[in-house]
Order: sequence, then C-alpha cells, then structure tokens
Amino acid sequence: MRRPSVFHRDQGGLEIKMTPMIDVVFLLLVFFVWTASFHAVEYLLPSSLSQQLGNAAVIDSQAPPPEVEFEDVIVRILWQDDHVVWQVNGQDVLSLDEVKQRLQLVAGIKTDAPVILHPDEEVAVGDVIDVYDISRIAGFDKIQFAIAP
Amino acid sequence: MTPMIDVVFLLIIFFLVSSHLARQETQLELDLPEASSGVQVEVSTAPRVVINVTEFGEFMLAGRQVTAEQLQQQLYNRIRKDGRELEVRIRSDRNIAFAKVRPIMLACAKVGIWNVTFAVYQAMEDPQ
Repeated sequence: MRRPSVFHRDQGGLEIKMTPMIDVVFLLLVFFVWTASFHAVEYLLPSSLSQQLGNAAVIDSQAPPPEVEFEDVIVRILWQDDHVVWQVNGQDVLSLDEVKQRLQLVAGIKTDAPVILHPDEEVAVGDVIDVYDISRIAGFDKIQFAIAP
Repeated sequence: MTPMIDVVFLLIIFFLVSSHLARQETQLELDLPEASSGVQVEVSTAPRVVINVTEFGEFMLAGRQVTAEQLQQQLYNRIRKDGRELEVRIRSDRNIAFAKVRPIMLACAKVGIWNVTFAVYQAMEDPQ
C-alpha cells in the first residue's frame, strides 16, 4: 500500500478551501463597488427669504425704480467682453476676491442690509451662485435678486 | 453552508443594487454650481418642487420638459394644493446663462413662492 504523499494531501486541502474564499471575496468586492456612491453629495443654498414670507425676493427693475435705500448693497454682475465684471454699489470691482472683501467690510457695519444681486442675462449661473455664496459667507441675511421681466 | 452563504449574499446584493438604482433615477445628472456655504439637504416631507435646468437650458419638471408658461401654471396648481410653504429647488447646470434660470424665479415670484433654493455641490475652498 502506498502512503499518500504529504505534498498531494496538502494540495488537495488547499484547493478545497480556496474556492469558497475566492467566491466570498469576489462577492464582497462586488458588494462594496456597488454600494460605493459615485454621486457627489448635494447641498442647498437656501434663500434667506424663506423665513420671512412676504418679503419681496424679486425686484422688478422695469417698474419705477424702488427707492434705493442708502443701506442697500447692490452687486451688479456684468458680462463685458466675454468675461465677468462686478460692480458693488456702482463701483467697478476687478476680482471676486475684492467683492468678498467689500461685502465683508459692509457686513462688519451692518449685516441686516439687503444685498441685491443684479446679474446680466449672459452671466453663467455658476458666477451668480459664487456671489450669492460670498454674500452668505460675509454674513448677510437678506440676498435678493433683481429681475427684469 | 457555502452555497447558502452564496445565495444569501447574492440576494443582499440584488436588493441593495436595485434600491440604489431606484434612488439614482430620481436625480438627473447635472453639473451643479459650487458653493462653500451650502447646508445639508434635510430629509423632510414638506412640499417641494424640484426644477432641473439642463445644460441646453431646458426645464425639466418631474421628468418632463416644460416651457416657462407651463412651469408657472404647474407651480400655481401646486400652490393651490400645498399652500405657500412650497419649496422650489432649482438644480441648474453651472454653465448656462442666468437668463435661462430667470424665468423660473420670475414664475415663482408671480405665483407668490418665496422659498427658492439652489442645489449646489460643496466647494473644496472659498470661491476665488
């Protein structure tokens, strides 16, 4: 009678244990790949007017100009020569960084002053949201849009 | 034992994948603007209308393309049903002109909705 070799016995044992392990590892791999979300998480920019019902969010700029209060901060977002130009209270501002500095300066004095954004038609939504965002960062509570019908 | 584990695993994966896909279907993939002051979306049952604005400037409401007039009419119908607490969430591509989003805001203002929010992606740092 031949004694089974140690080598053969070991190899057989290894084969039997290997296959289910590969199965399980594969399944785990598939499981994690599928459950991993490749979608970026979405956040919301709330309109600060949501808490104050009845406060006009949209100012009709075709109508007789509303009396511009001294405290209003009007940010115009203009589209000139294929790039974006900003104006804060009528003064040209060259960079978004500078807009931020000016807004922070005003916010330091009075945060309840409304910021009125008046973007040109051609300005991309992303650029408008940038200004909206820095107004929020600066600490303003009321951010409104001026819209010509 | 092993085949049973296999089957159980497959069932788990099947249900997870199907629920995952069902959730993805509700959101149109858009290149949203970035902002760093965004707040997390709260899970709530408050009435809400999500308006998608595609990169071609089309308005998508509940999976269908609508015109600005239809949008205003539908918002008006919703407000009669749900009241003025209705939230309008604008999911807009970041590169389209503001003129495309303006009619939505105008329609909201006309029917008296003030709770308008923008969906954004969280920016890694302050916008420069």
